Amino acid sequence: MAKTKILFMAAIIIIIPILTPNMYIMQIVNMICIYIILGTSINVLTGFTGQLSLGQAAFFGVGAYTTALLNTRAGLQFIPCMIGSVLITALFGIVLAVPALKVKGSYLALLTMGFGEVVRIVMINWTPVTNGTAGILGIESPVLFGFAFDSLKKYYFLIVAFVILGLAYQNMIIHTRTGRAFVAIREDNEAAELTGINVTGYKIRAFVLSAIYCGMAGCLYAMMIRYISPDTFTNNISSVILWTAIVGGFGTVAGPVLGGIIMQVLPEALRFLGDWRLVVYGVILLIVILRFPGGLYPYVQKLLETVNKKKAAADAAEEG
Amino acid sequence: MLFQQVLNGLTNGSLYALMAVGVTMVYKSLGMLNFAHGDTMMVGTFITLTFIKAGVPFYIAILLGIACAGVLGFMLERVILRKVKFSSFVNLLIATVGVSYVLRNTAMVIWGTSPQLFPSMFPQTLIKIGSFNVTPQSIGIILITLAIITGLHLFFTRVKIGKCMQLASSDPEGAAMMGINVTYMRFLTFGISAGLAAIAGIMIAPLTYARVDMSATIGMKAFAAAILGGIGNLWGALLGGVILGIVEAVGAAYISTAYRDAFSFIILFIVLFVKPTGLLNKKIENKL
Amino acid sequence: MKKILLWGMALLAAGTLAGCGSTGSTAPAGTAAGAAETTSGTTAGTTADTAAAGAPASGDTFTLGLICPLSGSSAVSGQILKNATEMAVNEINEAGGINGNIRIVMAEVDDEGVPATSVTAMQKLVEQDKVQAVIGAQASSCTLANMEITKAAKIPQITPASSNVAVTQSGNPYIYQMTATDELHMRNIMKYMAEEKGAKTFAILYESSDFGTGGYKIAGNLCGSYHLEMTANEVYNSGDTDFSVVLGKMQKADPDFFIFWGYHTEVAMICKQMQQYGISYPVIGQGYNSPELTNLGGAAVEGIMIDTAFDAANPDAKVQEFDKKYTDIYGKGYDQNAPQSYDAVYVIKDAVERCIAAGKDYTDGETLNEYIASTSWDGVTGVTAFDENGRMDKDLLIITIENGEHKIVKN
Repeated sequence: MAKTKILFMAAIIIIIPILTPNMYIMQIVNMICIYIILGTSINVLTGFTGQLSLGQAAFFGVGAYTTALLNTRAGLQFIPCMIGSVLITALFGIVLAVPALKVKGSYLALLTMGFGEVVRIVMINWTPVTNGTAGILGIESPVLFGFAFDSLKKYYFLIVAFVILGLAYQNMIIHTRTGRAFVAIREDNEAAELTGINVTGYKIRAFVLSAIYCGMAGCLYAMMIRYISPDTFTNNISSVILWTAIVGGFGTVAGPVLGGIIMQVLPEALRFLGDWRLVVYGVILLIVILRFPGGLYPYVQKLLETVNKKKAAADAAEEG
Repeated sequence: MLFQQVLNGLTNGSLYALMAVGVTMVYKSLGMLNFAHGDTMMVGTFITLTFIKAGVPFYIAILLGIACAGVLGFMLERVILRKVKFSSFVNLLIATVGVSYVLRNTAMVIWGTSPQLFPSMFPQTLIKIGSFNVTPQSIGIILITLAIITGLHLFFTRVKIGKCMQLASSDPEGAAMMGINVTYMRFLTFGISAGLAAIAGIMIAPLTYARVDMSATIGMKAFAAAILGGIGNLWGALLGGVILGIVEAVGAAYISTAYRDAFSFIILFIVLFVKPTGLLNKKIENKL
Repeated sequence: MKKILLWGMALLAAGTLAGCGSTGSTAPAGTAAGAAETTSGTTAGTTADTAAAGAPASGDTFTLGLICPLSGSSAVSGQILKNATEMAVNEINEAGGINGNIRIVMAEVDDEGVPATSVTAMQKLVEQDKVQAVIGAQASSCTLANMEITKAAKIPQITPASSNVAVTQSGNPYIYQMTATDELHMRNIMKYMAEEKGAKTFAILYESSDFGTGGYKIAGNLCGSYHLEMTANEVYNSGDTDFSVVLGKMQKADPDFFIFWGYHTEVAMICKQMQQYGISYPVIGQGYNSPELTNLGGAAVEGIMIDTAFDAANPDAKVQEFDKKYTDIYGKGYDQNAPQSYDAVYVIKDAVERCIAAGKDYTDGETLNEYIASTSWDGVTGVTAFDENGRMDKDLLIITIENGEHKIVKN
């Protein structure tokens, strides 16, 4: 049974690029994938570990800039750029984690938001390195072992590989001691401390892991759009990343997938509303938060369960 | 140069203080930061501008604008926050972020994205003090802020409803037992907080133009000021705002103009690290 | 968990294909690139198919792309650009279209003045709308970013507004600059101030964007040849609201005049603060020639000088005709982008017509490009001709603001 499922999934993954009518739609699909990775980052940090972060755009940006600089200044190709992005964002993750250990709730949210803003201000003003508001042009497409991912369709497969990697890793982590520690910290910080869990260590781990996901996404983004500037990595984007995980479902494994799809598709689907598009979009998001505090994924899950139950009942009826 | 910068710092600081008061009131009442505060300020400012452009006499337009902002604050509490109250804290915070988003985009559709001129309530003639030029604007903002905060202090300590509001914030169970309608007090808190934001916006808009993104930096600085001075503390908000304003102005003049906005965050980091309760608070706040 | 991913992927496939539709009809615009103010990372590119009214139908159409800021702080300038372009397109279509029978179909995208958004917006124009020529962008940083795409797609692009010299110095054969470059502006400014006003020193205040820094670099390069000395230079970020520090520093340097290189929102504020702090120096510069300048600056911008390629105060017959036409339809208030984009449309029309007259295929980007390169069109902004880099020379005016009105100081 598992094998057919995997084959089915693989089939869908392969069919998607064949079905997309043009490059522009392909780009949307690719962005959905990048946002799935970003959503996973905050899912790990906030959904599972309960550390509210409104500064994910900073990690995303750092990852993107690292790749951009390594590629345009040092001529490095994909793999070293990805490694570089991951390492540098991990470092930033530690930098944020240290003060974050001491605060929680609103204060933590504010701290992370401030972190995001400071990083952005540095991006804008540290002109010799980041080229300031002008941004960095001419980033190359990834070249992996001589194979160039120079079209959006080819790039899709590279991104999907990382999406699967990220989701699989998230799934694995949840079922280990680390994952249980994360949840324990989320549920009750003090109690977790009392039961001997190294809260400090796990929190740092959560921040670093979250940062790494964003760094990955940043690298992929930089090499896809081939141009980055500080305007891309604002507070607004941090909010969007947060919404991605919330709407999908905090603390669920597939929440980011659902969230990524909804967050990117919804504004497009609302185009017919013209100017009011974003207002309605925001209102819909608010309604989701208010009505579905656990995210939409649990509802999808229930739906699947009822479908399965019906199917099982039908099977039983047939046999019986 | 130094005098000019300190004066600027005091002026901006007063505005941060006004915003910080609104933030701190809501925090005390609800236990969390209202991320829609900055955009409430922006909307209040634009509503006032709309009234002014429609021909309403200037000061009446201001009062109307403040009142409308107050209503917005009420609605926020009633419609959104009450519903989310029993859900997780994270959702509550996100809800305010969502409201902020909706407010900003609605403002963009209604009033457009270009900055607009906002008339000042102060005369434009410069006052000469020694060899320096001082605008009535600066003096006016500082005085008005002081007046408002003093007024609020008196309200919270002498006037019955004010005292009830204070009690409902610091000890909800005790207040409920005394027959105070805690929910209603919270409702009022939001409205007043929103009105204060509108006043701040109306005073700052002549300097920076009314723009739909005006909440961007001032929102966070208000939080920083409130936390610096001591969250939940009225005078803390004033102190925090003033310190922030001056540090920012002097820092911009002598260290770096480009990183001006970063100073408030740096202060925030330091405060959160060293003394999260802020300057004027003694007790450790247990609230989230 | 596998099931989850399975359904996730299925939803992904269904969602994107259903929600996004295909090319042409609903034309959903904007891919996900971090849009600063607006959405969850999708660009705010609305595609309005403004097919001109009342044109006799023939099978052939020419798709003209327009990319400019329709939201954000440059929205006013972008809207002016759009108005003028549409005016030209409508005029041409009402007369039957290009060559009498080719209707122009416009595809517009909002790039918000943000380079990253501009890149994806251009991708949309090229990939989805299949444009045959592009007018835009407005901000130099946006044009520098998005012109790579038209270059790769071999589609001619004319920017009526981006003045950074790098635009036509990058070896891109498909880009044309129909606005005076920063260098041209700066030469005119320096010549005027040095020769006619006898100035010896200046201080420059510029925006940190590509546009502003371009001006700063040029000032540094050229000042020597006019015997001018730069005694102070200060920079500000777009969106800044407090200029007391930079103004104070410039005042300390006590130059003969100030040069401003930025956009109207900030410049209006800077002038107000100059008034507030009692800082009084002649101001001249470029980039802030917008009707909004007097709206936002009021009395503070009296006496400010602007170097521009076009102004309604110019008594030339063609200028006055354009002024009347534009004001009749769109009301008062436009900047030099308007006549420049208007002429840009006509330059494209002229190139297509010459191409057809020579029996060549105008739908081939490379061919059309050759004809645009050989343009010599006498339009509202004078005679347009491009050099081998796609750069164009124009005579410039210096105007000043007197009683809220523009007045020509130097022709």
